[in-house]
Amino acid sequence: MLEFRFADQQFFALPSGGLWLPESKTLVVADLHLGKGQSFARQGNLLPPYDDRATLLQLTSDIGQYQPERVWLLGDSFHRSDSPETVEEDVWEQIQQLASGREWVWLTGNHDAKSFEASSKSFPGKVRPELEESRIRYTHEPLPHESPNVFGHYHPKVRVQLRGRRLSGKCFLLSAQRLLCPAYGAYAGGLWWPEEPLNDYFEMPRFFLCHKHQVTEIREQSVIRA
Amino acid sequence: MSTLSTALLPEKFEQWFESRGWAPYPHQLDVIEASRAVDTVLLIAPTGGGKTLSGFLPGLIDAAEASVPSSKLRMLYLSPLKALATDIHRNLQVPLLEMKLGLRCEVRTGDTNSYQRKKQMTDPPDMLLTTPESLALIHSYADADNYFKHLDYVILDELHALADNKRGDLLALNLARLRQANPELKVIALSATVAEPNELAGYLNAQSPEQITVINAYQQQSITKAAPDITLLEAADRLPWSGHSGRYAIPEIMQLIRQHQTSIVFVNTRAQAELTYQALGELNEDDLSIALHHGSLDREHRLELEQDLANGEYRAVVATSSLDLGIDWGSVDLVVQIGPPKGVARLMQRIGRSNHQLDKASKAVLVPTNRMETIEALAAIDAIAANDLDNHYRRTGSLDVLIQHLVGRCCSRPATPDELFAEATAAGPFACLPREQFDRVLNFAATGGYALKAYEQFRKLKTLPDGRLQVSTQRIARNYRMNIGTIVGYTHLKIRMGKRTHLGEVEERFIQGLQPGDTFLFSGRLLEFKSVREMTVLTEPAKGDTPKIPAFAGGRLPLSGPLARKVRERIADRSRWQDFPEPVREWLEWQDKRSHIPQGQQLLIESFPRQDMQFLLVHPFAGKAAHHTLGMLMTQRMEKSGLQPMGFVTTDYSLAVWSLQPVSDAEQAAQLLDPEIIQQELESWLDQSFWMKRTFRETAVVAGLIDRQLPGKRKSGRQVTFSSDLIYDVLHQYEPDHVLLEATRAEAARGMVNSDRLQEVLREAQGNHQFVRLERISPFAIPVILEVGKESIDGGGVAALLELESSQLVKEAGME
Repeated sequence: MLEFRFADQQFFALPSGGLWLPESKTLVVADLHLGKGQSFARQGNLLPPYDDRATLLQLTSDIGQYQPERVWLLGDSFHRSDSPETVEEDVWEQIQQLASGREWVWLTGNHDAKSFEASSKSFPGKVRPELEESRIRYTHEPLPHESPNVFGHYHPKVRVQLRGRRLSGKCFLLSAQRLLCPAYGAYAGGLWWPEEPLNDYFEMPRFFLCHKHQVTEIREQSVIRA
Repeated sequence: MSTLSTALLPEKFEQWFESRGWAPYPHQLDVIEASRAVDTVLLIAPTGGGKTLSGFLPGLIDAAEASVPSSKLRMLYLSPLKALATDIHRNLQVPLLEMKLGLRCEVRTGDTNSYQRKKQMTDPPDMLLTTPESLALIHSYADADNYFKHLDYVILDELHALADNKRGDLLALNLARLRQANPELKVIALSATVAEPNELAGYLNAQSPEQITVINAYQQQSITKAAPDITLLEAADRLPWSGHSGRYAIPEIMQLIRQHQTSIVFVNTRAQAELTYQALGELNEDDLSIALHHGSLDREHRLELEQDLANGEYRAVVATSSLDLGIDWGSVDLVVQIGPPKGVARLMQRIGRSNHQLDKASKAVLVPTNRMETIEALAAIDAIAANDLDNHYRRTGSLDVLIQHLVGRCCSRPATPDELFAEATAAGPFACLPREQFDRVLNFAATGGYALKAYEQFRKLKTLPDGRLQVSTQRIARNYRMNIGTIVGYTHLKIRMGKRTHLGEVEERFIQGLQPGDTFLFSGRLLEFKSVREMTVLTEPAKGDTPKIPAFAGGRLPLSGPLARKVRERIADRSRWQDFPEPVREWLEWQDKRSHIPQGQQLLIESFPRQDMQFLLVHPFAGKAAHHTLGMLMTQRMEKSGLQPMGFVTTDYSLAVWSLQPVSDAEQAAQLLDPEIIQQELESWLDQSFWMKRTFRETAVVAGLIDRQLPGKRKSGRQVTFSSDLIYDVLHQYEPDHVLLEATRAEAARGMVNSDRLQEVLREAQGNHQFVRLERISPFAIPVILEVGKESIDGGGVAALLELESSQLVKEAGME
């Protein structure tokens, strides 16, 4: 994990794509896209049906390691409005277990805005459009005006060249006012830096590359821009 | 005219041959005779020997003798190239019209418009000329079997170009289906010369061995084509040490073009084609018309070019394997091959593009671009003279193609698993498929075949009450039709120059390496990269003449095993060193004096220090892909044993690994090159390797797990696609033995990873290593050492690289 400061707060970027705030014992994750594999299966692409398990296994591991008192999900936790109805029963049970005994907040995103109201399931925790704490606003999509904002939605990825060797992976993008988290879900694809609209929100960001079990800050000159 | 032909040819046909001043070739008559006796005829004949007409004659004769004109499809012709089908269509008009056979002959390819296609279905022509992919598409419709019910003949053209790849698997499966629906069907297959005709016969998999007749025109005296005139270019005093550009020989090549009517200049990669075209342009003082042809160029532009070439409007064309096959241009009288031939049969095919008529010898000039390639060129000339070919067709069909076919099969007409199995194993490449494996493949096609039965409600194939399988929804059938085919391209981006001019397409991967302002050659122009907008690369014409980015990938050819063996033999045979050009001979003599010349299957291993590094040179002659795999495995092993490897580079002949600690004796080297140990390392490396993921992507697309990225389908700003790498990771984690991973491993082993070849070479050399510890670099090491720095260095720990990146930042921040 990689330590950094944003809006006068201490943060850790995790290799999984999650954020850890040690002072408030909060784990922040964005874009789980639960039910994505299933959603493709419905259209005839029978992807391996293990994506929700893989995503929750990762989340279980992060929660086990950091023991957060609060877990905030920055939206698009479900891939489709009806995903809460259709995900496997054991997936649902696992969510209940993870949420119990801690504050659990679902921010709504564009994919799952209707998931919560339409569902017959009883969701653990709270559902919110956004959160604010220590002057930082937590949202799914970026806020148009300049105030410290942590968000997801874009699934950023970056390609880098280190001594002739190419690597790529999901990444965090960081500027003075904006912190963009990568997607946490196992099948969540992504946008390559600097594809639009990533470059609309960031001019000269810092890059934290997630590669296997490491998070590394990448220098601007090592980033492949095309 | 002989009595034989009188017996076989109707009068109309005899008169037609006479009117053209021709006599039928013996092999043409043999095909007619054989097709009456057996269900499968394989004709091996040179181009220019009336080969294609041979395939059509039996069907044309039947049609002429039929009293009632047919309004059914009688003949189906399958070609590997759309352009070839179109060309054959044109050529067939002559006999069809002149003999007034009253037959309708039409072409159907991906380019045929939907009105035409519909009409071809409702009102079939007598003869349909098409490609394997179009056949698969027709086969996916409900009335397919009915459509082909009256078919008498299937003609498979240029079978040698299909039978050793996935397209051939697709063709074989569709052929099996045609035969199953119509047991009376006759198959006439046409091929250029191959090492073992019986292997192709196995591909065709007739109902029984006595039902196939192989006719080899080369063994008939009347057809002896004059021996080709192949020479090495004489500019050897400037022969470079490494690289593949052939630039040193451009003045001589220009001179050859001037001396001939029409030349084809073959190169091995698209990048080389661009560079050669540019270099020829610089020396083209007489302003001769020279063209450039390769697979990335805009398709319409390419077709136009091919037409102009056929009309003799160019004096020369620089081409890649995109012109290995194709339409017949009578006027070509010279073939120049720049770079190594890579395979004997491939070289013969290319050389055969000149002087297509049988009575004239083909003429070719080979231009090796470095010392080892010179030996390879001479070895290939030897092999051609001895007719010692290296194109083999012992292929086990690809499972992803079978999966695709099974879905298509169930789109058309329901079938039971037993019926499907019988049909699949009637196709040559799948003849030995175990039932257990077939069942897993079918299960994948139906439900994804996962241990976790999550997708029952989404199954693609449903089981009817009588046990037959059928596609579940029309949407799945539509999706299948959109995704037919076995060639998976990478995302291609269009290249636009300025505001309007569309030049062609390049792989996304090439563009990913570019920074704005970088220059590269494309379609004979120097372009400056500006940016990427959606699926288009924006460029401007650039000044100057040297591209900053030398190459874009595409079209690297593998070195054939038999040719590699011949190269080793020529090196070992000192009595023939005198035939080599001076620089090559001197090089070998130095190698002999300083190090060692490997004999027979012997594996030469050299170890020496250079610039603070310890080099280990291995010369397996197994081709670049196999060497790359060996390099990955060796560095992995060296890392474990504390030798601190730093990187490696490869050529088709050698591998150079450098490390901080030396490999100082034969025993240590033997451990690194033990085939058993390699086998053990391979599994763990392969599953995480880049190649495996790349192969998985292809396999997953062909098998219908993920959709093709269709050209013109725009990427939406918000990402809705997913990366096949993510799917690979999840599948590998949860179900490492899944049939799709099994298929991927098999493809990787014979493809880019080429571990099959590596294994074979290391086995052959086991116990026969020659280890030489040297004070300095050996002559044989020079070409491969010169590659250092030209390509990105693989191997070594990624973790260390990331560590270094962090420490660089620390340094920049002044924290040290």
